[in-house]
Amino acid sequence: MDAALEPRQTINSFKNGILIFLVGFCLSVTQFVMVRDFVTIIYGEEVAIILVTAAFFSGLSIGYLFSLRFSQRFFKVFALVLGFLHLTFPFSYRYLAAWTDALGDEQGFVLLLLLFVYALIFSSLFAAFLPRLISYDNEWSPELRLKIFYTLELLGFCAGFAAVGWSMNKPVSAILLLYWPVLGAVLFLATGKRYWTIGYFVVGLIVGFYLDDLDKASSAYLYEKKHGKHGAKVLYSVNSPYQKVEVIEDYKNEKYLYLDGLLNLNEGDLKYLNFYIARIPAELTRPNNALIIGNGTLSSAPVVYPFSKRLTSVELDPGVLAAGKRFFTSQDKLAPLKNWSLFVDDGKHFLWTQTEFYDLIIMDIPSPLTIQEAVLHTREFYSLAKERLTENGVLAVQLSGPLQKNNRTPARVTAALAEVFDEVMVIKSSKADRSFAYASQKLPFKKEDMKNLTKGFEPRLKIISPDRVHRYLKRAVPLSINELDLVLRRGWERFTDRYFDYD
Amino acid sequence: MIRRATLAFITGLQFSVLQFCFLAILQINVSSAYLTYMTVAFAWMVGSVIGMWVKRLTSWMGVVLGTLAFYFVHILLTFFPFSYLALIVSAVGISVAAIWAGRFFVVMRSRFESPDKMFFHENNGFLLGIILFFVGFTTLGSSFIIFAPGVGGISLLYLNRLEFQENSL
Repeated sequence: MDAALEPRQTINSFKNGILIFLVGFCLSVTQFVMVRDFVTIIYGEEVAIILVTAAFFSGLSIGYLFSLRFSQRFFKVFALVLGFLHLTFPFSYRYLAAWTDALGDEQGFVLLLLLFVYALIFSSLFAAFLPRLISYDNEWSPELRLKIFYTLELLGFCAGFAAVGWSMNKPVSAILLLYWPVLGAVLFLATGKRYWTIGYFVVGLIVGFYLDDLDKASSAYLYEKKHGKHGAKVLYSVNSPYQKVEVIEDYKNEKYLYLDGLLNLNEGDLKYLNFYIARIPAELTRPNNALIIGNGTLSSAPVVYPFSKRLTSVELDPGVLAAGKRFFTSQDKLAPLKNWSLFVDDGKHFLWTQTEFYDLIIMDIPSPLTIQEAVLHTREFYSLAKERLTENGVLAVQLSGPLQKNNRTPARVTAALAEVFDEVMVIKSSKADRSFAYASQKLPFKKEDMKNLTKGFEPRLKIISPDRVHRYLKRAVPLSINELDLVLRRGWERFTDRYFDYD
Repeated sequence: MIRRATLAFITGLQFSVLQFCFLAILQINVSSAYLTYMTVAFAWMVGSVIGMWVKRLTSWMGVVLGTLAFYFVHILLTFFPFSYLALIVSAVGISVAAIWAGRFFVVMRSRFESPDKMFFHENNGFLLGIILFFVGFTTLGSSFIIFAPGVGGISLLYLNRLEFQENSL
């Protein structure tokens, strides 16, 4: 091991200060890019988010472990090689991930290996700087060096955080085009290699020029290989503050909305979904005041509106809203809705902070695969919703699958509803491939009303009346803040089924 | 050396659990909006930077201060949920809790023969803390949030005491 930088190589502490600030910036950006992109690749359940985050931090650990074991010469080569590899983001790992799909039984292990190798590329280099600077810079005492350099790294991290904030609702290329020059500066300051740095910038310029195309082409390839979407085209791909939002079109020109790599909905399913989650409860209740929570595509607003005197939509994610307005619900459908208002807010925060009462609340949100989503399916949340409902007000919920006599998602969500509301009616739709629940203190419609309204659309629809719902719930543990094990269990099950099921 | 590595590891674990517990109680009791996440991350970094330059903060004081700050924020949000004012006060609480996250490295720097080991063990603890929080919260719910920071704090006080005794011998 080369014990220390030579004094001449150290140059000066001012330069090192700038270097570590920029390293902090890079760490912040790479953490964001890696977590978003790899979560999308391996599909965005909470389990996947934790796995990718853990991989990123293990990359940091490796960086710390070897930071003082590298000679200065080796460290420079290592930094340059990794720097050039960063110019292959995001397309290199997407193509490699798509390639793993052809590996059959080995896919899971190779994908995990890919994840951890890329974690090294993403984060290990940046972890190596701080211990090296604390150990080798000669100007101050070791304690002062730690204070100054670590402070600067944290400030750089904050600056990176601001850059990530700026890149919200933009394609990944936006943040990468900002990040690459900063990384170039890091490489120059760390290695002093002028020609290699110029080479890095030249390659960066060329790749940057084609980055949008490479981004879309590699995403499309991934959706074609991993999701089986033949002729996939990426119409829209942005990093929202919460997730990666993508609209994919297949060879039949059908559009699909993906959130963190998980299929949220497709155009074809919207018709069935909106019929049961929006039109049926709206037509049966004819609400004076209705509220839709979720439904970022806004497609259910024009469905509910004709039956409601006033309608409000609340959606948390502006990225999904933008995709919805552009690809799923055209402006000419929304423009005539004069008594409709849209709020960008968290559903539970909205319910708590406003004072209105609703005759109908529609919960059109994704399945409980992350903690955030699961909280909106808990009895605590349903209690909050109940407080904002009128006496005969109805809460409509899609159950993410058909209700069965077990302890799986639909039964657990229904059990949470049944704990809060006196009456819960459930329908099982083959067309929508899932069940829907309608909960109230006193449902303003009967099983016969439901039957009459749906028989033209789905004659064989199964309707479970409130007095029979409890038969399905004997084994179901209601979802609550204290019982979110479903997120772990279901996420793990889906992850292992996808990558490690050899049957 | 093992004791020091364990101390750094458990400290990293405690930082991770604290951060995620802060995030969870704010997301449940205020909002899941991005502002909440930004508040937690930014306030933690501000606290860490302050902690690095604070003098005369012993490990005992740092750990107790951090743990108490968490329970203060928890109680505050229980009584004043969904309030942005509570979010602002919580940000101050998070910064206070993070002071030890900065000071810890300054205190431990001289106890480790080189900084790479200190960062390595602390980071490994942080990594495990991420997994522990996820498994703990999804299986135990509020109980995990109520007890984990306290258990972590007590464990750290014990480990710090052993470390202090060893150094004074």
